[in-house]
Amino acid sequence: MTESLLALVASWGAYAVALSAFLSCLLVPIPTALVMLAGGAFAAAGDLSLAGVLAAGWGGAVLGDQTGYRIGRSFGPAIERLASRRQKAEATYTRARGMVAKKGGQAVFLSTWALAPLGPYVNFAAGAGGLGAMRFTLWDAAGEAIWVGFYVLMGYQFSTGITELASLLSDAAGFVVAAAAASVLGFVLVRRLREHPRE
Amino acid sequence: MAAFWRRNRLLVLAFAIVLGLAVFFGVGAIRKARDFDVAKEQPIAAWMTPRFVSHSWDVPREAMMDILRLEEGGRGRVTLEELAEEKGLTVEAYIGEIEAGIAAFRAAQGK
Repeated sequence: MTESLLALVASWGAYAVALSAFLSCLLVPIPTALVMLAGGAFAAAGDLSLAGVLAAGWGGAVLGDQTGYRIGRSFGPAIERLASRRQKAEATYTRARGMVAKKGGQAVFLSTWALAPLGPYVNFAAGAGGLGAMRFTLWDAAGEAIWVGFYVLMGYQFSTGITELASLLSDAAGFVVAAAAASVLGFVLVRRLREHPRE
Repeated sequence: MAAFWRRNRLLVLAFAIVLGLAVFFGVGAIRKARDFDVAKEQPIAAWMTPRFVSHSWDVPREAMMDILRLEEGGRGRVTLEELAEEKGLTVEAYIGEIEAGIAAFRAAQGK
């Protein structure tokens, strides 16, 4: 899998980088981090242009996120109709929309790089929850620049060890997401313990 | 405490699972970071291009072209697998040839 993916980057160059970035934003399970690293490594070897790889990765990721966002947006009214059937669901839905409106931009930003595995879901939620297109695009484009820049430049710098580096970074990304989830759940648990201290 | 557990069983379980995952990935990342060695050459593989091998093994381009038995000329990116096929070799045999060639080049350089 890894080998044929790398061969694909060698043959298709920046197109492979753009396509993989695009598809991974839409939940297609491609190890895009490895593809970005490989793009950077081939640039270091002189096979690809560094600017080209950066632009391709960024462009592909931004387009992919936009697509996810549009899909979410087209589902928005249907979700609202479903939610309005029950009072409790409607309240939850209204609260969720309020949160998206308030913190959606920052959430999109973080979901493109720090919490990248959550990206596709956040794009969909941002669209469905009614985050403005301009705000979504600006936060998303800024975040993707960080994500793509980080991986491509790491590949450029450490071109001789990209497969090991990919596995290291994948563990590191997993750690960040798991640690973030643990913090959120831990916070909720502590709050519940305090609410019912005698139980 | 028992009532708390009954009421929040799922939440506690989910917390334990993500905490376990965080430890698992964290330990993996630290171990891999410790073993990561930039100076080490990557074993030559079918997906690599001539330039990539030349860059990774620090062999000048001209010497690399000799080792690969390639004519200098403007070819696009091409993998070792494709080159081996053109030469009617298995990619393993071609890689063996390249490794021997690099060793010979280094010996000649007195490295």
